[in-house]
Amino acid sequence: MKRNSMIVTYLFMVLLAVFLLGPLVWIVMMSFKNPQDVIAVPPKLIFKPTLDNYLALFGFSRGGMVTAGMFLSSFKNTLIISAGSVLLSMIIGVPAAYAIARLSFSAKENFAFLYLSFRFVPEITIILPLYIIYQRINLYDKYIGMILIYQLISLPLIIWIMRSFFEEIPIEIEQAAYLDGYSRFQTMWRVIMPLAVGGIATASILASIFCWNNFIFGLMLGSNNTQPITVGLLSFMGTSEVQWGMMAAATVIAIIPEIIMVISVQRYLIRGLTFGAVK
Amino acid sequence: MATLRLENVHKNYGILEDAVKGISFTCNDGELMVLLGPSGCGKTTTLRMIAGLESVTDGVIKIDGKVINNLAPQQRNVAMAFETYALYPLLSVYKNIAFPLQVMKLSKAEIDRRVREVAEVLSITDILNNLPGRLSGGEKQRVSLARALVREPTIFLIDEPLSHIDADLHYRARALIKHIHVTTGTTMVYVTHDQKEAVALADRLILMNLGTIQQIGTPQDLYYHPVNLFVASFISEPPMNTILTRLEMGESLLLLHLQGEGQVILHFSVDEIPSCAQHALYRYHGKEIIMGVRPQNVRIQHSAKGGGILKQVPGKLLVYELLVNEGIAQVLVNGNKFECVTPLETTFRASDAVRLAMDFADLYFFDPQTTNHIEYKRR
Repeated sequence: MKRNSMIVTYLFMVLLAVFLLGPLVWIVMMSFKNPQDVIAVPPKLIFKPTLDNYLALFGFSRGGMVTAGMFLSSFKNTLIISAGSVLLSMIIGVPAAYAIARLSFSAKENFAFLYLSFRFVPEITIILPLYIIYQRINLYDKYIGMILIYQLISLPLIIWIMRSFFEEIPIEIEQAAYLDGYSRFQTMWRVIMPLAVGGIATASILASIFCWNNFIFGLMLGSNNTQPITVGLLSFMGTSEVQWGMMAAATVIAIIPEIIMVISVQRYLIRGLTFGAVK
Repeated sequence: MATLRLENVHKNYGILEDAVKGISFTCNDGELMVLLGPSGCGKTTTLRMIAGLESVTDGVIKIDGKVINNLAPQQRNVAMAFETYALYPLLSVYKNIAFPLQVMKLSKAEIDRRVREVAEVLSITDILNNLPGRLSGGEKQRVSLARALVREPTIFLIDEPLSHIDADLHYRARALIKHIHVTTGTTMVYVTHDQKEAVALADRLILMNLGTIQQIGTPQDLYYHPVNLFVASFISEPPMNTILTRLEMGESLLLLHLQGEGQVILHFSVDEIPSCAQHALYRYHGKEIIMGVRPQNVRIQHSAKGGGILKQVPGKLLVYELLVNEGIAQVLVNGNKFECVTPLETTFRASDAVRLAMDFADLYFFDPQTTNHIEYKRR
């Protein structure tokens, strides 16, 4: 009986793995295929791999120059926007999370909920008014504009993850520091922050991933100057042909930073994702 | 070195009832004052108000005559050892102890001298380089005491320091705290729920219940002159037996009818009752009164032996526990449960028929309405 349920469990896990990893494997395979192999029916599992797509992406082959420039600049844009957004969210969010975790002020939970509610509304529902506002106040296609709107993604994550981290630190440790003669600010800096670095790292990486993946803000509020990689990938779909191989190669490159980030904080990530609900 | 004074201090957490309902006491310079009481009685809240970690809803807290209600914890020069130790997990023991000195901007050499001095007193010199996570409960506790002591505070607050210590280390840890108090002469306020610990340590103790002070006094005061039923049963190990009785005073005998179905009466000859006691008890003649007697003062024997003495009452043994150096028997007398401490020589078994006896001088009487102790001058 026990053995059977184990088999079922493993079967389910294998199916889940295929479901989750299948597309990834598909994309990686595609990025090494030449144009004929990509569109071959039935799909070829065994083929002669080629690096042409990657070479073209970085401008090492015929006709690659244009796409190379586009690809690299949108990669850079994503890097700037994601890092900038997370940095700004850190500066605002970590003290905010500390305040929500430790201080008692009126409407505290309402504030916390307000930030969380940023994540409730699908971006697409607010994008049209935002587009008009951005055009008028001259934030359209500016890094600062992108970073500001990305706060909707990164700020709630950072506030809620850091809140649970701060709440897990026993309050007595802080109070001991007060009695030892340290001010609240000194205590936060010298006692709490060293304990919270793990949380800060987790929260910032998680927020980076969400920023990295965003599509709609970049599509609607950015243009040539700030277009992120998610939107940049679309340009491989031309009017006459779709460059599947290069698109796959670009996708692979684009997700490498995310995979590195996930692996580096995998241990903390599960804890961060549960928002401290499971202690 | 300081005198601590609380005047009519209240604490309300925003609910209907105050957690601390107007308490006043003075802790003299160099005194070790123990705040004792069951959990939820407001003792820790009181300590935290002294430390400045809780605001004072009403009333005044003074150190050396100066009101400190609105001073931040940093400005009070009060040290506190926490129940959970609250050591800084990322700092070594040495750095933990040095932490309060660093903010005082002392020289490195001075910090080092003072850390080593206090580490010496608490015998933790060999673990100075360890991280708190690797220490045993007893070591953590000593480090937290060291960190509090190293500043040479005016008042030293200690919150339940022994509650997470293994039982066999209790005695040593307690002796250490007493030793610290004697050597430093610091005014100490010590919170505990353990009456043994309180009696062992206190110069004076304050027994609290439900946010009010029940009694302040030396351990002996509280033991021999409890003001009410609560104090009497709290300062007793095992708890005092308290039984509702009806008192009858005759010419030559004082009778206590134990409540219950049958007729069980404790008889005492008037001769052995001091006249002041007779006076105090006379107004309860024919009325109900609560009788209290400590388990140590109840004598127990098997029914077969002796018997016939007036003071004895028959009972049935319910449970017999053998402790290390004594036994404890629970005896049912007319539906009333008596606990008595028995010497090791005699052993008992459940459902043995036994007889209990006690001396009048060991009895305490309480008013059934107010539960106040009916005090009279003892021998």
